[in-house]
Amino acid sequence: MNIIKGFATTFKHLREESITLQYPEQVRPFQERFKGRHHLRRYDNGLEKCIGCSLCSAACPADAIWVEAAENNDEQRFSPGERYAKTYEINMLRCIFCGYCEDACPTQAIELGHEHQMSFTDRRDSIFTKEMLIDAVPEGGQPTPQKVEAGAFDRAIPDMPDPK
Amino acid sequence: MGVTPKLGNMGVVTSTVEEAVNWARTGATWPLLFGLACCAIEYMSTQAGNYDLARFGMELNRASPRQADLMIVAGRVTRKMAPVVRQLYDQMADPKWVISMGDCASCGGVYNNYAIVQGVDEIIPVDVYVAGCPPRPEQLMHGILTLHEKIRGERISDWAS
Amino acid sequence: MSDNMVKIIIDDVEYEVPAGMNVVDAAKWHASNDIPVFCYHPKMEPVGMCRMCLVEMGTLQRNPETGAVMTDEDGNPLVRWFPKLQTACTQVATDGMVFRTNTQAVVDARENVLEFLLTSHPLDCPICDKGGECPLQNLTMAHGPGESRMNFSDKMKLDKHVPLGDLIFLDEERCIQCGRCVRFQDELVGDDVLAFHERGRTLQIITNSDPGFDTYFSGNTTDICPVGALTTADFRFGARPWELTEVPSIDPHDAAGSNISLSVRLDRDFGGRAMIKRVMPRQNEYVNELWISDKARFGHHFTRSEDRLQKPVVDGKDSDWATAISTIAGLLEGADGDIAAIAGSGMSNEDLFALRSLVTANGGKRLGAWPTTHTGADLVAAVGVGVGTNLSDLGAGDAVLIVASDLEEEVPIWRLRLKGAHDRGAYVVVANARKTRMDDFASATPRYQAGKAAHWLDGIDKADPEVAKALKAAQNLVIVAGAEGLTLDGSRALMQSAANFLIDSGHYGKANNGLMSPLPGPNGMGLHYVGFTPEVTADIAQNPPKVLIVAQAEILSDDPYARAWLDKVETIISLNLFPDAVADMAAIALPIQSFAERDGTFTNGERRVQRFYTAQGPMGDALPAWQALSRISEHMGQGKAKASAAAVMVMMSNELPAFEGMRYRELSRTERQFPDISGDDMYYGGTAYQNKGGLGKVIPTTAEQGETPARADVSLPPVLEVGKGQFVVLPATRLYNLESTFRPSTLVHPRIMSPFVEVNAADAARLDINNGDVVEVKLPDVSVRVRASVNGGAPEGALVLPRHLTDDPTPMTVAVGEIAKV
Repeated sequence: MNIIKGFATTFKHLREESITLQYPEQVRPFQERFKGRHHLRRYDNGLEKCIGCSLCSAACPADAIWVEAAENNDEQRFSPGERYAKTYEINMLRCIFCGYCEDACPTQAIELGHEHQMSFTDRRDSIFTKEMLIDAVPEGGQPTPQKVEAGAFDRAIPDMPDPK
Repeated sequence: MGVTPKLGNMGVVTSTVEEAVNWARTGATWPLLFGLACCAIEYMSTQAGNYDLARFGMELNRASPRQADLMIVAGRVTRKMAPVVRQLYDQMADPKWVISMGDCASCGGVYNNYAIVQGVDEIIPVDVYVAGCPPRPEQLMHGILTLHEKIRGERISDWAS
Repeated sequence: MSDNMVKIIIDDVEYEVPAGMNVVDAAKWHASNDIPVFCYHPKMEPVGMCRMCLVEMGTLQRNPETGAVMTDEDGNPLVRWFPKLQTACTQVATDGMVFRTNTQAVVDARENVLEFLLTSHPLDCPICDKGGECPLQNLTMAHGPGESRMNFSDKMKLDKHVPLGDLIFLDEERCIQCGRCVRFQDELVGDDVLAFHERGRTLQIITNSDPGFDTYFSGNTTDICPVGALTTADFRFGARPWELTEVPSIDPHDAAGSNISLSVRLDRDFGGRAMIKRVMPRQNEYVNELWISDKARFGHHFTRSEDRLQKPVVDGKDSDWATAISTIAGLLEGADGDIAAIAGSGMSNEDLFALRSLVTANGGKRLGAWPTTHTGADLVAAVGVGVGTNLSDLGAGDAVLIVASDLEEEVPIWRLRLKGAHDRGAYVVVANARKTRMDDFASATPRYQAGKAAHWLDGIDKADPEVAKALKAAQNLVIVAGAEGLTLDGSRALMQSAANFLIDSGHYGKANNGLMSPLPGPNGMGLHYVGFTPEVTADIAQNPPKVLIVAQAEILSDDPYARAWLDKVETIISLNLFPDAVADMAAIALPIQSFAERDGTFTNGERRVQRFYTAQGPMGDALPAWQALSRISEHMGQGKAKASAAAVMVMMSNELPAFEGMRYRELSRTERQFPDISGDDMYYGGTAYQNKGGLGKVIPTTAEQGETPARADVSLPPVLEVGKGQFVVLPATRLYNLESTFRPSTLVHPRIMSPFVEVNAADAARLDINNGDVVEVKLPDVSVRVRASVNGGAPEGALVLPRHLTDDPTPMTVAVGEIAKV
C-alpha cells in the first residue's frame, strides 16, 4: 500500500512544471532594490554628475573605490562643479555591493544597477575604470570634456537638478 | 609542453582531440564538497533545485579531493585554514580548476586584517574570480560558465605542463 | 602661589594661571576646556570679531573692608555676573575672575553665532579642500544648530576662484571674515599685503601687492584659515584630508630646519607609490613655531622629479648596484689613499658619517664641505646659541645683530621670528652693505662698504660706537653672521670677529645668547660636526686628489670656476639626486634618495639634531647615501653594512663626541608645547600639526661643556682692488631660484625673478643704464647677460648679482667685474 502512496507522490510531482531556472538563457527578475554593478550618471547635457569628492570612497567599508580629483575649467569641463573625478575606479572583487557609496554621494552620481554577471579570469580585470562605469552620453548631450561659456557654471557643487 | 613535440604537428587530429576532451571536461567538472563561510550558503542554493547545477553536470559534489575537478573556495580563508585549503588542492588530481567565490576569497573583502588571507590566490592558483558578497547563484553560475569558456580554450600543449 | 599667578574659576573649578594670560589659552592649557574660536589665534593679538568665544563672566564679590570673598548661606562664593556674555578671547586672567562655559546662555550664543555664519556659507564641504579638517565643520558639529532655517538656494553668490597670487586662491563665499590671514600678514610677517575691502556682507579679502600676495609666508594663511576660503594652488583638490598620512619631516631647504609634516597618499600618477601631496607645518616652538616658508611648503616636487637619477651610471652607461659597488671598490683600492670627498649640506648626518668612514678607512684624510661660501661652523659650535634657546624669548632688553646676510632670502623663518623679537622690543641691528628686507624690522641699520663686513665688525667700536655699546649692554645677544659679499677668508674673519665680540661681552654659553649662521642647506652644522669643512674643499681645489667623491654637491652648477680644478681630478665618483654636470664628468654616478624617501637626521643652524622619516615611495634604484656608502665599505672588507639609519646613528654617537647620546629614541621625544594646537580640534591653532616626530636634541656648545672659548686674532682679508670702471660684484641669495632642488617646483616659477643685476642709481645714470635694460656683467672668465634693476638695492660702486637665477653659474663669492649695456 505504502509503495503505491509513495509512487503516487512521485508521479504527482512529475506532472508539475519544473522550478529550475534555465540560467543563463532565463534570468530571474530582480527586486528593484537589488544592488548590482555601479553606474556613474550623467546630466541630460552630458556633463558628469560626479564631482570627485571621494565621499564614496570614504564611506566604502571595503576600500573598493579609488578617486582622484582634478579641477574643471571652462575649456575642459567634465562636471558642472569645481572639480571632477580624474580617476574613478572600483574594484569589483572588493566591493560588497552595500550601497553606502550611493548614500554618501551628494550629487546622486553613483547608482548601483542590476548587472551582476561579474566573473573574471584575471583579477586585474576586476578593476572597473571610469570609462567602464560611466553612462553613455544621453541623446542631445555632449561628450565630456565640454567647452562651455565662461562663467556658465560658477558653483562649487551644482545646485541645479539638471543643468542645461 | 611535453605533448606536442612528441606527437609532432598533427593539425586536425590534435584540434579535434582538444575539442572533444575540453567538451567532456566542461560537461562533468565535479566540485569539491567544501564551504568556508556565508558564500557556501549561496553555493548550496546553487546546487539545489531552483538553479540546479546538474544542468552543467556538476550535481556530484565529491567529499574526497581525489575525485574532484573543481575547487570552489566559498568564503573567507583564515590563516589557520590556509594550509588545509592548500593541502586539499594538492590532493586533487589533474586536471583541476579553482573558482574563488566572492570578495573574501578573492581579496579578503571587508576583512582587511591579520587573520584573513588577502586573496586565496596567495596560496593556490585561481582560474576564475567571482564578484559579489556573497555572489548570487546566478553570479556563481556565471563564474562557472566563464570557467567553461576557459576550459574550452585550453590547448593540448598545456595539458602535460 | 607665586607673584604672577592668579586664581580664576572656570565652570566652578578653581585654576591657578599666570596673570595676564588670555582666557581662551588659560582655559585650554590649564582647564582642558576648549572654548570655540574662529578669529582668535594664540600667536596673534585678539580682536573679538567672530563672537564664537562668548562665555558668562563675573567677578567674585569681596567684602569691601576685609577683602575676603563673600559667600552665600551654603558657603558658595558670591559672584557679580556681567549682564551680558563676554568674548573670552579679549579677556586676560586677573585674580577672582569667574567663567561659565557650559550654561544654556553660552550654548545658545554659540548656536546663534554658528547659525549666522552659516546663513551664507556655501555647502561646499564635499569638494572643499578643508572638508574633514575644517574648524567651521567641527564647531558646527559640536555646537551648531541641527538644521538651518535658511533657504539653501538663496545664499550669497560671490566669486569662488579668486587667485590672490600664484600660490593661493580665495573663495569669497566661504570666507567668514575672521581676518586671521590679514592679521597674520600684518602682525607676524610684516608683509602687509592682504586687506579687507568693502564692508558688511560684501566684505572681502584683497591683496594690495604686485605681484599678488607677495610674501614668503603666504601658505601659512591657509593653515590658520578656519574655513576653506584660502587654498593653495599646490594641493587644490589633490586629496581629501582623511586619505592622507602625516609623516614628520624636516624642511630640506635652509638652516632653520623647520619641522614639517609630509602628507602622503598612495597615488596612481606616481605608480601606486606613496606621494607627497602637500607639506604642512609641524609645531616646534623652538624652531619654527607653527610656521613654514613657502619654499618649504611648495618646494617638495624635486623628490619625485622625473629628472632624478634612477640607476647607477658606470662609465656613462646605466648599470646596477653590484657593478657600481665593485667598480668603486676597485677605484678606491687603486688610489693609494689619495682620496678626498666633498659633501653638500643636503646629506644627512648619517650619510656624512658613512662617507667619512669610507674615505678615512681607505687612507683619505680630506673631507670638504660645499659650498665654499660660508665658514666658521666651528665657532658656532664653540660659542653658538646655548641649549634651550628660543628666538621667541627675545624681547625688550635683548639685542640681535644680523650681519652680512639677507635673512629673508636665506632663512625666512629666522627672519619671521627675529621680526617678532623686534616687535617685542629687542634691539635688532641689521648690518649690510646694501638694503635688505630685514632693514624694515631693524632698530639700526649700519652700512659698511661692499665686501668689508669683517672690517666693520672688527672695528665696530670705532665705526658704530653706539650700536656696539647697545649690543654689549643687552641682556641677551644673538649674532647672526652670514657671508654675503665675502670670500671664504672674509667669512672666517667675520665669524671670528663675531665670536670675539660675544666672548668680550660675555654673551655666550647660555640660552638665547651666541652665534648663529645661515649656512646654506639643511645640514650645514652637520657637515662641521662630522668633520667636513669648506677650507678643505679649497685645499682640494688647490691639490686635486686621485679619487674624489662628490656627494650631493652640485659644484659645477654653483661655481663657474670649479671646472678648471675638477678637470684635474683623475676619477670622480658622484652621488646625487640629479644627473648634474659633475655626474656627467664622473666615472660613476650613484643615485641617492632624497630626504623624503628615507630616515635620517639634519643638524640645523641652532645645532638641533632633528629626525625626518620615510614618507615617499622610492625613485628607481636610488638608495640612501649612507646605505650605498656602507655597502661599498662592506665590499672592501671594512665592516658590515649597516641595516638602518638608526644603526648608523648609534655608531656615530659612539665615535663622534658631538653626537654622544643621540639616539633616535631621544630625538623623537616630544613634550607638550604652548599653544596646545591640533589635539582634538583644528580651530585653535589652525592645521599646523602636533609634533609627533620629535623635537630633536641640541648639541651643546663647547662653551656650555665647560671649555672657555678663546679669542683669536682676526686676519682681515685683503681689500678688493677695484680699478677704474670696475665694480664690486656681490653675489646674493634669492629664496626662489633655479637650484636643482627647487627647479622642479614649476608652480613657483612665476615667482622666480628673471635674472637681474642690481645697479646703484648713480652708477646707472653714469653708464646710461635704465631699469630693465639688458646688460652684460663681465667677471674674470665669466660673463652673464641679465637685466639691470635700478631699485635702490645696491650701494654705489657695487653690483648685486643674485645666484642661481641663470642657467650658467655666476660667482659664489665677491668678485670684481665690469658692467656694460648691450
